[in-house]
Amino acid sequence: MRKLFAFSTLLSLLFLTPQCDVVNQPLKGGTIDTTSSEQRRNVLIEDWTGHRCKNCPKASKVIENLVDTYGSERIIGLAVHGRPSSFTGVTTDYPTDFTTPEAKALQNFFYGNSPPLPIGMLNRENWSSTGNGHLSGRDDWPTLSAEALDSTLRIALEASASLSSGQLNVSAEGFPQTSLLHDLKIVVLVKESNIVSPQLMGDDTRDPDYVHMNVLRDYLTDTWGTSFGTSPMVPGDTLSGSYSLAWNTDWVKANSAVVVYVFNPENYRILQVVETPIN
Amino acid sequence: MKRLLLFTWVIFSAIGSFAQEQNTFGGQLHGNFQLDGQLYLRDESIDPTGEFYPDERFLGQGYANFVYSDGNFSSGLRYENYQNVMLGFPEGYRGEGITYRYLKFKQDGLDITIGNFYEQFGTGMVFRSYEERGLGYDNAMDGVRIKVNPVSGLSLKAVMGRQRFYFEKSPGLLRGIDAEYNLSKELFPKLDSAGLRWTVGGSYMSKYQRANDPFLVLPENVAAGGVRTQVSKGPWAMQIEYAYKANDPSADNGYIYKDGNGILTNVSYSKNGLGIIAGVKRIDNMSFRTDRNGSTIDMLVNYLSPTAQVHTYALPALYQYATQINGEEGIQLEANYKFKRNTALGGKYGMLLSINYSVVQSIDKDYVDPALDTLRTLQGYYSDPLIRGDIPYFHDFNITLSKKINTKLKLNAMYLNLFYNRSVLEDGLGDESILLNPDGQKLMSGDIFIVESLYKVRRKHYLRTEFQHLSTRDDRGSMAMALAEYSIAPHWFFSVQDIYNYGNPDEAQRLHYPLASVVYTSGTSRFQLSYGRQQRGIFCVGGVCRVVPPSNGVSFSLTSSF
Repeated sequence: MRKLFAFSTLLSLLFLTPQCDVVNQPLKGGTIDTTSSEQRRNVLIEDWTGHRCKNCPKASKVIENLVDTYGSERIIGLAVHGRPSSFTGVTTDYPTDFTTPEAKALQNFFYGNSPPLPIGMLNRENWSSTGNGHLSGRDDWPTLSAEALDSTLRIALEASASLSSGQLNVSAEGFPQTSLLHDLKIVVLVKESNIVSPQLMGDDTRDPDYVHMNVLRDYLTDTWGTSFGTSPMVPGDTLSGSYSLAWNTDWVKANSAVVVYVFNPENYRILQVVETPIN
Repeated sequence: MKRLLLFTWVIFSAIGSFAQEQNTFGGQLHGNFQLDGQLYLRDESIDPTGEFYPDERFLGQGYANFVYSDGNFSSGLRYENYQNVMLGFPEGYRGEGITYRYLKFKQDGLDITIGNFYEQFGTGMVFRSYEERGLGYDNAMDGVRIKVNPVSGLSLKAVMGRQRFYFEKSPGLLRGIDAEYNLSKELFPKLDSAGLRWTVGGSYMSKYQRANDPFLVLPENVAAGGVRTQVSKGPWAMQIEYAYKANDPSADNGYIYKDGNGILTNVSYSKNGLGIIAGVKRIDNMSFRTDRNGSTIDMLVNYLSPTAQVHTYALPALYQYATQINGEEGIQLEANYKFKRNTALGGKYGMLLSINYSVVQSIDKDYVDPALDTLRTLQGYYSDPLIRGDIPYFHDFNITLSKKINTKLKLNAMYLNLFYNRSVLEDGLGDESILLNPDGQKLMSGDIFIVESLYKVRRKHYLRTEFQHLSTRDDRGSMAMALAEYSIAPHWFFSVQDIYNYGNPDEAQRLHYPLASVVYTSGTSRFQLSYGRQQRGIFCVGGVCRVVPPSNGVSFSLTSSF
């Protein structure tokens, strides 16, 4: 019995040992150095959102803060308006239809029928056919972004976009930084910002002059990507592709940008993403 | 119909051949199995845009538990499949696999479990790991648990592990210990022999979660602890638990570093047909999860029991109370009295009268000016436990009479007055938002009348009926419900019901929600087939709730055990 008592005491001490971190200065402050001539791994935040989703502006704000912190080259937001229609549907008060069939198809594949909003994916990390580990709430995005930004860059990307004669033309080049033993696919899309249209806000009020940012407009490639490279690829290789799309005159060129990303089609993980203005 | 009967017979024959205790390797093998499925039908009346209508017309899910025990050793596993998860359950359940497995043995005074386990410290304010299948809630631990009684009257529990997060694990790690001591038996034997029971207990739980936030210095180790005592003598019993949690900025509390605390007190008296229970609870910032960014019912470490009655009748169940983990205070009073037989009110068979009152509101919160960003983040708000909060969340006052009229007929009658703050309980609006715009609250108040009867038609034949009426001008408006169940023991059970939402402010939504079911039971196996409409609602168990979308279709359920 004595041994048992001694063991129990030891066990108690062992389990009680973990201390509690008491934080007196919660704000980090300072600035993050965003100046670097070398390309590093960037982050695409696919923010599933809706103009009748009252918590969605908070998610948009998180992206804005991350862009302010790390720079618009490293954090690339994309507002995906898909489902459910109770959040994204058009009504008299919310007359703009931001949804696209591609957005709905993406959500259906990565989540299911009726996702809770706001929710999103960062570089589509941790996808699996079981579970929702690839999805994260807005509060996870700062931590996940910090981790993704520090991760190894496996392929560098360069892209340029121009609009001429009603045609948007994009060219992209990829430069493997490590050996890539899987095929690569590329996705090229257009997004538009500074769209003024009503939005339901967190306090249940309607903001008629809300400015929508990073709205997914259309894809120049297939939603699920176009072949960009075939395994194996090694540093020194150059991958390239050109893509085009008839310009929709409803879109404001000055507020639009092209987003290009390459991903591993086996697990959908985005290896690199860049955003380029339209010339 | 012949095909259906044949299908049912084949299934039951297969189960029947297995549905008996299995003796394997000298030990015993037990198990149970459940399979649910629904064929969804498009119903534009309840879902005009089709947002809830699944692309797959049929959704099904199931599980099977197997437990093997032999002397001091036991082991078990659970297989779950979601192909795909049914509407209303968390969509995190995608796919299939073994989600629960463990080995357990007792040796040298130690009770050791490795693998998955469920456990609770005290009332659960510091730690509770449990499963509630109807909710899709499962925060099973995966790790190690040790139980030991080092000296007489003292029991210790130590746990370490990660919680289940659907088919994955929580990012945070838990380590905790709980001790309970029977004070009266060991130190005050005279009190014990006089019938006084007194136990004291304490628990400690530490969470570790890595942090890499660019803006905030987040605590990676967060601790919570609690003390409790329980005293009983004769008809009286009293239970008090106090819990404290250190700074734990999270999505729930808006990333403030304020500490949390909670107190739960219950006093009860029971004698001569009279039972009284009084409960008081106050919690302040007691959200505790293994992922600081978790939400809804995901990865909760603790359990904060509701101070409200859980209703099983359909209409009150539409407005169940969900515990507000960021802060609430409430009381619950319940009194039961059984009028004796052969008295004026008791009549020939006696009568049971139950009165229940519960009320819950916000706690006092004096918010720090957002302009003071560091203090606002550190403290968030100040709260005085002696001052009542301004926002009413919920109240429920109900009276129930239960009386056996004669040898064939029993009656229950209930009146219920309800208040339900939809902005808080359905929309999850925070106190600060409500205080800034109190007129924007969506409130619901109403009265519900219920009459239930159970009539013995003849030997083994029973008819149960329910008539319910909700009278309100709020939310979906008034509703009436009728239900009839006919059971033929021990095999058959038939049920039809209809809820008519005749008072819906939207005339197009003044709909009927009919549901018909047939159940066949054979031994330990049960097969249920239902067809009907289900309106949107909130399904709660123990103060934890999930939203149920509207649906229409044919559903079935098969359960069996051996």
